[in-house]
Amino acid sequence: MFKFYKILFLNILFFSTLIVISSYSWLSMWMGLEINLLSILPLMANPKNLYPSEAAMKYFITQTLASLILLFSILLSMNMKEFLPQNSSNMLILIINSSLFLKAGAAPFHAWFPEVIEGLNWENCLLMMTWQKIAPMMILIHNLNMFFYLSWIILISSILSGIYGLNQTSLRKILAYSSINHIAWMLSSMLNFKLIWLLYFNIYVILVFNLIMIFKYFNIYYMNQLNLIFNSNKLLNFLFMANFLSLGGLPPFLGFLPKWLTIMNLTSNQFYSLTLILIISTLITLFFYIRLTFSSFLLMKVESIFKSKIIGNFWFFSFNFISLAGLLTYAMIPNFF
Amino acid sequence: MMKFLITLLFLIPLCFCYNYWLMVNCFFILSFMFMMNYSFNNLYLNVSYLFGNDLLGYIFILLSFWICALMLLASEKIYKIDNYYYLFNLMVLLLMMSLFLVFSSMNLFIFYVFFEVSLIPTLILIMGWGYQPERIEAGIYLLFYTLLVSLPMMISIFYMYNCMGTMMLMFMNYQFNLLMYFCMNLVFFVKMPMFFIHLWLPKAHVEAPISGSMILAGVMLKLGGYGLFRLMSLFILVGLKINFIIVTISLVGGFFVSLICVYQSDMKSLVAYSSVAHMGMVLAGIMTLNIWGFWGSLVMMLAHGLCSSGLFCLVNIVYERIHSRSLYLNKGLLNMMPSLSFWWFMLCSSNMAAPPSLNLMGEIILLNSLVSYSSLSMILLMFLSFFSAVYSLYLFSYSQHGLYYSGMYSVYQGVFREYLLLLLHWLPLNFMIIKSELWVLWI
Repeated sequence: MFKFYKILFLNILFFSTLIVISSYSWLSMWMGLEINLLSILPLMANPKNLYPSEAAMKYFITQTLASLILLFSILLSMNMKEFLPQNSSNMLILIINSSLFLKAGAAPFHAWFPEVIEGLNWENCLLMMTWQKIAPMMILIHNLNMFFYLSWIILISSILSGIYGLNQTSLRKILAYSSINHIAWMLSSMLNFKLIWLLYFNIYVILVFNLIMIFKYFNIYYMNQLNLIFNSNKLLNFLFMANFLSLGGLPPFLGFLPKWLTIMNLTSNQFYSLTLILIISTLITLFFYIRLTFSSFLLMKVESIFKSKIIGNFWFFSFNFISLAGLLTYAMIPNFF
Repeated sequence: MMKFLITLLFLIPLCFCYNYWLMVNCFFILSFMFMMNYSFNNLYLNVSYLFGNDLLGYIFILLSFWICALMLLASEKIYKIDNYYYLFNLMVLLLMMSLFLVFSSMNLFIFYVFFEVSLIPTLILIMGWGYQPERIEAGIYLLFYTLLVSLPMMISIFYMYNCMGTMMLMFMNYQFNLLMYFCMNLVFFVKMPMFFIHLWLPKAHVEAPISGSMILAGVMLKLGGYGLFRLMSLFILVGLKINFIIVTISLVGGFFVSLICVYQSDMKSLVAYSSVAHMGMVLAGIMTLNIWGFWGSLVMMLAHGLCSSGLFCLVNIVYERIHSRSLYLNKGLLNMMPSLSFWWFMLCSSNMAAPPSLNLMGEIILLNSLVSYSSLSMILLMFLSFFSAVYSLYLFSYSQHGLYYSGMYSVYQGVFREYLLLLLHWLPLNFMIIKSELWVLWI
């Protein structure tokens, strides 16, 4: 049975995010966030499986809590000062920012995120890791006042995601922790220059999309399923490895570009130790990415007799091409003008 | 410069043409074409699009072209047993491209980016075509040793950019402090490798296939020296204060590593450690900051690139027949392959810096530089030279002389390809000394 209501709620999900990022009143922002939450819950639901419902429940509880805190702080500030204060010393901004971090899943408020991701299927994971980040992060961009607090969030996100991701075997959890790491990078990219955040987010979406497409196609959820899956398809094997290297931010791939811009921007604004810690902790995430791709790296020669169908999709290859050759293309394009 | 880059770019489809020898030919043709591009001194010639070459870059690019051609020539086995050889060709090509861009880049950041890029094909070579499961560990060592120190270098490159307002290597004119000294140069020390942070190298060499070992010893180690050559002018003031520490570590470390060489039973590991010892001397030469040191280091790196790569080839030729690299099994090879024994002798004697080799010239210049730096270094240099002869002779005499291993059932003698391979290592190594002033014009 084709579930038409899912299309409806997906549309509402997209629209609600647009409401959030285009509204100029705090109340309509809050409203957009609420609609966003309520429209993703039916998308998660699956009558044949219990885990998505559990994940939806967890997601609902944390997100309503965050929205509640947001609403509370908005109303409180309205009562106290009749407007939202813009100076950084105010505790209310701290509360607002915390609620937004909770919505986005940045590290000290991240505990719900891997739990929720673990219960979802790959499409919903993609939604959770990409689209659901837009709304809270866009609000954050407009309210970046507490650099000190934000720096702490960045540091904790980057370090904790690296350490927590080390002993995971579930691919969804690994991608969730990698997403937390990328949240740290995105937060640091929006510190000074907003466009870098946009670039970072877009590139992150492309990379995660590529990976999740592969996982979805082969129905892989755990690390040990990776070993034999690529045997009959060497090209895919290679793309898989390159995508993870790209996600880790190694130079010839596209993932290096936003990191490069972020680091350049941070260092030109004297955030040296922040950059150093970010980079070193990203190395830890790179370690578990590489660990996932061992099976691809080793060029194992156990070829299965059953040839699995090669993904011959045009879009698949074009997206992968973007993520592989994107950096070089991006670096060359300005020279043609 | 772009013409070579475009040529390399358009070689990519050729990798998948199922014609292995065509790629070898292409690499040789490219290296001969590049020889025409000789650039005379420290000025950048053939400049196009951020890339150009002075004599320093020219030498290294020529070396990498040559080594890449020889890599393909050496790994015929990959072609014969159809071990993803088209992918192998592609990896060698990508490696060559990144090395070309590293050595010809006039921009510090482009240099850094392709420095990191060159790591990935090497990693894939080691992890893809290595022989044992331990290659995973070796690959991880290689990747993370380098990345851990190269990412701080990225921050310091941007800091440099903020200080100087340019990343072009020609226009850099500044003196940085101690922290910057370590942030920038530690990656080169790891790459060289300096003693204490050399641990990734023997592991990588032991696990790597022959092509991986050749490119590692031949060119990748030289990346460190190349970077130091380019950047030491920014650290002269701080270098005068603390370079003696690095010199001491390298010389003492080179001596210790020479001792380690003597108790190796794995031939490949022995050659790997001997390259650590040689590179220690090179690093010490660069760190003296005098002109003799720079000359000698360059000559020594060039010589070592050819020589150790040739020794790895020899070890691999034996390994393909006996299926072991152990010195206990590879005894008395003189009985088996007498003509190959000649090449063993020639390359081992080059490795111990015997007269007609470029190693000798490099070692003489380096001795002059280091003795003029501090007369105390004479003691260590004496040990270094002596022990380099000891371990080369040890390798030669243990593998060639004595009773051959009785379990050796049948051995086929060398084929033409292998002798060509060794000749092409040895010939430049021993003939370049005839016109050796070409290699010291660059400063």
